[in-house]
Amino acid sequence: MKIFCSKDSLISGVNAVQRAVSVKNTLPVLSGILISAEKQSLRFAATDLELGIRCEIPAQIEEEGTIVVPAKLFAEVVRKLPDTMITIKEENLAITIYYYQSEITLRGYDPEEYPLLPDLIDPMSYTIPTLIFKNMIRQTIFSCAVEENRPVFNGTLMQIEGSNLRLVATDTHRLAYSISEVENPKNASFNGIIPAKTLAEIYRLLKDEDESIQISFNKTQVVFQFGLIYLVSRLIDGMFPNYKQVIPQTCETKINLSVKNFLEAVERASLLSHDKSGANIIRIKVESTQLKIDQTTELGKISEQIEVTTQGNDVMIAFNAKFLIDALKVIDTDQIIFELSGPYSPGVMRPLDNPNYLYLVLPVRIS
Amino acid sequence: MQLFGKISSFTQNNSFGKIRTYILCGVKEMGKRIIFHVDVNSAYLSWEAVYRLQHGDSLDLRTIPSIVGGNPETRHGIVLTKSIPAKKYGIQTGETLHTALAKCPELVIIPPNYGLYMQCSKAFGDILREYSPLVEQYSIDEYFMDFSNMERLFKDPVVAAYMLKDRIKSELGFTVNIGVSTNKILAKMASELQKPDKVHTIFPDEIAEKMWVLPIEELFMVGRATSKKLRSRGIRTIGDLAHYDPKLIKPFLHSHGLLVWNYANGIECNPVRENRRPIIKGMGNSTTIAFDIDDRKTAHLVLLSLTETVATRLRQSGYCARLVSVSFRTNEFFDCSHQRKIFSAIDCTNAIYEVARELFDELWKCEPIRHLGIRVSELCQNDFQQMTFFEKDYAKQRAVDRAIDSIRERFGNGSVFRSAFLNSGVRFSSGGTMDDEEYPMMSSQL
Repeated sequence: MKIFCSKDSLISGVNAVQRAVSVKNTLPVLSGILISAEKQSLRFAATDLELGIRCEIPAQIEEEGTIVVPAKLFAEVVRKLPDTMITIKEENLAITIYYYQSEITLRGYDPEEYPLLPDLIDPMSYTIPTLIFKNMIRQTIFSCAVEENRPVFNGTLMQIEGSNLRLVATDTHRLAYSISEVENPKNASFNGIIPAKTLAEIYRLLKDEDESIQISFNKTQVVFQFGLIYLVSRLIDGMFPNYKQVIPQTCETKINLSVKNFLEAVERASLLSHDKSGANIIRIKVESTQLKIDQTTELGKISEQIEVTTQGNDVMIAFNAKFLIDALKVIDTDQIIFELSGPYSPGVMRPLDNPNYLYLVLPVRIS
Repeated sequence: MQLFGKISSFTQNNSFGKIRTYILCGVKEMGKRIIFHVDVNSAYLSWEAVYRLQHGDSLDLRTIPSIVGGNPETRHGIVLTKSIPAKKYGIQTGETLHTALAKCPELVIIPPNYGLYMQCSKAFGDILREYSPLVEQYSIDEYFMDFSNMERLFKDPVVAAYMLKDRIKSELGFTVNIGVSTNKILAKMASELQKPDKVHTIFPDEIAEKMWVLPIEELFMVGRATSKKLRSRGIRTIGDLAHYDPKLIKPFLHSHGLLVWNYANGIECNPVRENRRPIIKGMGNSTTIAFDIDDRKTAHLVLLSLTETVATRLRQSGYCARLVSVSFRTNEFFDCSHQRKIFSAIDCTNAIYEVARELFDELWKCEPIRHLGIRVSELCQNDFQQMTFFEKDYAKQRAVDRAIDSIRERFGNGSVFRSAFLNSGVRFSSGGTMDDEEYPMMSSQL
């Protein structure tokens, strides 16, 4: 293998695939990046067997070939290269990088041992505008569970039904729901749980200039293609619980409030409620035209008061402040409707005049 | 060369200077404080001996080789306390009854009676409280007393200590050692000096003469592991440690190194806390079973009975736990444990038991088990409960637990128990030493 390319192209290739490199190192070769030179492009690929990413970068290929390079070291080297034309040569499982009058040689792995990223057999495919999908990921992904004891909650449910695309994420304490209308000429349908890590990667790699993202899927895997990137991910096995049944249909108190004011008040109050055990409870009191947060802890005391418009009963309710802050940060509108039904029922946040997003948060029971 | 020599001597001076300033400010700040550490001599044995003498036994157990130890038949067979004559046979606390008997065949073995110990401990604490408002029970047989600013009542604290010691002896019949100093660590070290029935002082100006000459193992919080590490670096006495550069200790003993280094220099300034509740990080319970368990059903029952005690204690202290761990020891003395974080903090017996059972089933490969334990940690306050979707709601279960707890509180621990334990050969709640009273436990914090 012998190729010529710029430092920037190398960096973009490495950056695109590096997060898919296995950190657990079950197979030593998985700690590497597969580089293959074919026709007029240089292809980078990495996988941890759950998530695989492939990226093509422009390069001038003089001689075709493949090699696996150690990911971390190669990435560091590439970032430190001078801004000039780079020549890369592969010989006897080693890769030599030439720049100006200097050169670096790194030992690699046998590419024969590297698992191939699967191409889906018989996939259904579907196209979504990038901006819509990116925003949907942003508004839901934070609700995925971090603890790993219930795998179905470590991912986001993606549903494609007719012209509807839904993403739903929950960690059993809160639930984020986003729906969009997307053209579906081939009438594809899909219902699967995509690992949060995969979606986070897509979110990171999606550039605004990539106009659309193509999704293809079968029962166990899903592929996302956009720009020069091909990303394949395992789907999480298991049944996502019936989220529809937990969304309340009615409410006793309807509060119309400003996202900015509410977010700032909650953030300030949460400063005083940090507990060593990680709990961060704030108490909210809604009385006709006022929403009050009064907090007294050993650290001090805060009383926040914001003007709101309400319909229905007065209510006192306690929440984990983090769960409110997370959602208030991703809501795009200036105003939300916050629906409550007594201290033990979920609170529902809806952006004003946007029926496509919903956030459910369960309160904290205080004795 | 010279440059290096200069640098090293400079750092040495610097650290030594630091040690001295530490000691000096310690003395200055605590000069007004007088702390007593009162420690019962061979506590379990003394109390048992006194009890027997008071009930007409003519033999004083303290005068013959005797020990308090478990029952080898239920395999709780280790030496808990030894009499001074037994010590002369080389019998050590913590060794098995079997080896102790080999050293001294005529050894008298007395089973423990924790109820009696609690009574004695209380009675002795009550006497101390007549002398100072600040009395802290540090373990079943140890109390700290703040005796500062008592000049108007007792001119000399050492004289007062003698009086206190003699009063306990004449009223309660057992002997104590009292250590007198300006802080807890020095008072505790002083009370350990020579036993029995003595009063010792280690005031800051006596540290060098009385404490630094002792072997390093005598220092509080230096156990087997620490002493091995210290000895391998040539630190043999408390004095050696005190003069060592703390910067050089930190790399191999970390924060514990700094703690023992401070102790070696007599630096410690914790107040005597009344009715102190130490910060609880976790609670656990384990038991050695009288027979090897080789079937899952019995193992689950024992696990349940351990969970009963742990969960009750958890609720009594007002906590919920977020981590459950299960451990066991096989008949070949192989130990293993397994733990899991849970989604939302819990305090229900059933919920904890479910997790524990899952963990046990994942860990156990049918080896015969002699010792089983369960532990909960990552505690948080239980005055709030994050509600959850799609999961069991424990609200009702918590109400049941509360009801059962209050029945047991009023009518005794055995007044209600799960029918699973009927005719099973497993006690309905196991582990621990007491059924209802909280047994004071030692902690590493002074």
